[in-house]
Amino acid sequence: MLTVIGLAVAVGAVVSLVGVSTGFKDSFMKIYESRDVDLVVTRAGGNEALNSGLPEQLGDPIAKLKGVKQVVGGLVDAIDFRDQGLLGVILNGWPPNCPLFGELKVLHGKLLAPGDEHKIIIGRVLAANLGKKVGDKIELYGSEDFEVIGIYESPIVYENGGAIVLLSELQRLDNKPNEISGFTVSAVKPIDDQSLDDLAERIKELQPGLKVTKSKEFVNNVQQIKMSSAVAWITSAIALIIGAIGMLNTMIMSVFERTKEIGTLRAIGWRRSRIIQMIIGESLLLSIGGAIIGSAAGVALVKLLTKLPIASGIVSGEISTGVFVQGFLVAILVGAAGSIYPAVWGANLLPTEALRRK
Amino acid sequence: MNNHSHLLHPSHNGAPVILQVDRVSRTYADGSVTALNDVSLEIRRGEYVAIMGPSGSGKSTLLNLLGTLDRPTTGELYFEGHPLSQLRDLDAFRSRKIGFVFQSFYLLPTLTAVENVQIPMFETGATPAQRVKRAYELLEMVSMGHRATHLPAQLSVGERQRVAIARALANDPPLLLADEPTGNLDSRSGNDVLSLFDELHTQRGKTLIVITHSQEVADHAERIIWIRDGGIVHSRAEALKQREAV
Amino acid sequence: MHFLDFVLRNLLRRRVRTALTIVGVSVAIAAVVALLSITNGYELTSKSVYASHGIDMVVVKAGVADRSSSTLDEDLGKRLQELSGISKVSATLRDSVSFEGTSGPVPLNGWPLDSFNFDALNILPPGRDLEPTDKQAVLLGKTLAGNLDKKVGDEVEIEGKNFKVIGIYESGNIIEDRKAIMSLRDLQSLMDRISQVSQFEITLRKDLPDRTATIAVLRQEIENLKDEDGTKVGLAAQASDDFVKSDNQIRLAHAMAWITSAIALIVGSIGMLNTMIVSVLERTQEIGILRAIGWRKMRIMRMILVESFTLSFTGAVLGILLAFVMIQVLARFPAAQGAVHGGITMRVIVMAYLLSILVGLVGGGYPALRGANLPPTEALRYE
Repeated sequence: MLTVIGLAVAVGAVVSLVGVSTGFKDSFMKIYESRDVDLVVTRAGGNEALNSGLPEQLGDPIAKLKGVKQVVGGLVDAIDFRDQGLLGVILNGWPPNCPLFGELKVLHGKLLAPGDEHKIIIGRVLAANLGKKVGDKIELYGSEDFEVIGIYESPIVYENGGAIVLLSELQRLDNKPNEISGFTVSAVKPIDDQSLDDLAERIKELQPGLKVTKSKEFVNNVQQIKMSSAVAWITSAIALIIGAIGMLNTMIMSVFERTKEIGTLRAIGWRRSRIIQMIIGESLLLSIGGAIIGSAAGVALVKLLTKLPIASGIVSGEISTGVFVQGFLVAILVGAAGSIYPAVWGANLLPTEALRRK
Repeated sequence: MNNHSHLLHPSHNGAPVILQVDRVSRTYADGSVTALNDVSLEIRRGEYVAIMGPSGSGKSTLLNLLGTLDRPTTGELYFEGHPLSQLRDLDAFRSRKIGFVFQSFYLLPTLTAVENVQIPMFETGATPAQRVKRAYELLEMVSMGHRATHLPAQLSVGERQRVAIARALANDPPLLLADEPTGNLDSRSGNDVLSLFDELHTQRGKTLIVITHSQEVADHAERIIWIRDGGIVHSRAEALKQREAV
Repeated sequence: MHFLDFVLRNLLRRRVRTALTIVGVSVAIAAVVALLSITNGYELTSKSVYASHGIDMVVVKAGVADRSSSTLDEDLGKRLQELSGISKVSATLRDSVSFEGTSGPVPLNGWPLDSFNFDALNILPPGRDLEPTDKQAVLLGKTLAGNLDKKVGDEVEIEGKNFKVIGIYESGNIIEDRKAIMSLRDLQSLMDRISQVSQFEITLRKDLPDRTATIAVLRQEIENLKDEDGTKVGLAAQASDDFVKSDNQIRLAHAMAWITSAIALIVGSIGMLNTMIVSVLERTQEIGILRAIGWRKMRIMRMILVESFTLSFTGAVLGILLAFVMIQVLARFPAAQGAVHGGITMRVIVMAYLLSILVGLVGGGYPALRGANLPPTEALRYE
């Protein structure tokens, strides 16, 4: 049954694309949730979260505010390793005493220590993609060699595909002295919404030109996340429209083919509503079948994607159940929408007319 | 016609053999079903032959084999001396050499009469204009010229069969095969068709092979071949018995 | 009656089905055409900014994934100027800033006042170019000025500071007209990025015998520039067209466009295949008749394939029209202006037709083979 396959492809596309992009968002969100981050402080007006800059010194005054438990500031940039086909690898610059180091599990070598110039630690996935071991050198920004002193594993997928150097080193490399990309602020718990907004205001007062956003809102607004969601949805919409047309076509063909059968059913007393139920029911069965196959295919596709070096540092390979539910819902909608017209048409045939056909 | 001896002996003794069936069998389902068993016969150019037998006797199978629509399981068929098994392009051969007339007419329902007649001509490389012209000529010949632009649904059964005959003649094949051509017709239309066949036989020298139940139809033929249980019945006594049974 | 006639008539027998299949294919092709055109449009628009300025090569920091985060030392410009073959060097500092009256960040360029980039701007009267004596002055692109509703002489608040609109320019480029331009110094102090630039733009001398060779040589030289202590500066240099083409965002856009197109085409082809298979099945007896009355297998195949190609071709024609309409609608939105630059190119149209052939082949190939190889005797008996 080709319609099932067609629908399966459409659903598979939806599942994998939406899954990847929500996975994107979820992974990103996880960064902030797992670190108990409530607020993100960036420069107002800058667009990409990766580009706006704030002075490093702002960290202290923020930390001293009442209700602030922890402030972490770091610089981040995205770099390419074109020869290995890796684009957009995240390079973090953390101060030596950064609490985030505590979350890394050391697989080989060690972590960064104060004064570690020209030293870098890389995530497990990046190490595999670049084929580097402890002791090897990596050239950053086409100009300086950094020695790999450790390979780590992080609960955050981006960090596994990324690398970390000391903040001062990244500031030097990026020509951004004393600058950091932003601060993440964890508030003392428990805290209610009102107090959190209050805290955000107080932070803003410290210096003009600050933007303070709650972590969830921040993640939702990151340019790349917005774009990937948009792309995923546009593609899904297109795939589903075409799939729906195919489904409609099939149902029309099938109902037309069975006019005699339907006429017989009507002649022996089946009411119109029952005929409609039967046809829509069949269509729904087809859609669900397609949705199951498509979802399975989508999952397989995403798993396959994580095997690719370019994607393994970005895509987490897990698809949340919400995506499946969405996929099924849409498939059911498509199945229903595609069969209403043929169902009603078929049910309204006069029994004699139906029996007369072919 | 009371003397039936001529029914057993092929006439046209000097004419070349157009079709030769040499020990042909046709089995299905890996040999468990035998439709035709070790059949041999000869048909000469210009003959008008009827094939008769009860249902299930294998006469349709024989017609299909004679018409190159099917291949035998064993044995060989020769058309004008050419062994059919060695013909590379059976379809091209069939389109030039054989015309079919079916019991159910099998006209294409969405095409008009004149268009239906043109269908076989696509394979001959004629131009559309030539095709149309010839189609009209053929329809005239079967007295259907006035209904050329009608669809099959608008024609009576007799008219449809006549169009089908015109179609069968499209590429001027030497051999015409008809499967129960009058089976779905009333007696008047049936007679019209038989007259047409006579005309084609005597005036245009066509070889005709007609499968039929009906003695009336068989009477128009020069020779009758009896088929029963997948084989040809040869003895005269048996033939007479067959005739009476039918 | 022509063969084609006969084929078309077959298609018209099942009007609804034919129509739906064509719609399915046309939506798929429309998606492909629209997506490819839009991504091409972006690339073209970006390229033409550099072309209109006469820029031959662009130099940015090596290794950065997002070019807008490239930060270089202003003084490098002098070293570039010394290289042979180079006529002029300009620098640009790129940043995004908050403008009053806009919800999102606005791209802002900072150019040294003697930059050749200014030559490409067509400043509309009564405005004028930036002068060294101007303090806190800004040029607005025509689109931006329209969005902000500002005229020459008005004040506008940028990053909390007041700037005077000295002139409004029209560059003819959609991307550029959405930007604002101020002097390099002003931007550097505004964003606290003293001595920084994002990239250098290079124009080559006009009298060079082989530009391509010169560019290749310069690339090597620039990328191997070293500091006093011997470490590489870390520059990436490219011809401007290549620079645009290799931009990660552009490449990502292309990749997404192709993935989406592929999915749309696959789903559309499956729909086509479905239709053709059912259609052939329905005509089993008819195919038997055609074979009996002399049609060769080839012709049966041709008939089915021609049907399939007719459907896909019609779908392509409609799809291209649909894409055209979609792009016209898109052009109404100022935000999408950059996307519709160049419209639907001939290349994309040709691609659409090639893809429709593919769809026709996928959708019709197997049914054609099956239909042609039906044994005539069985087909005749089929009901």
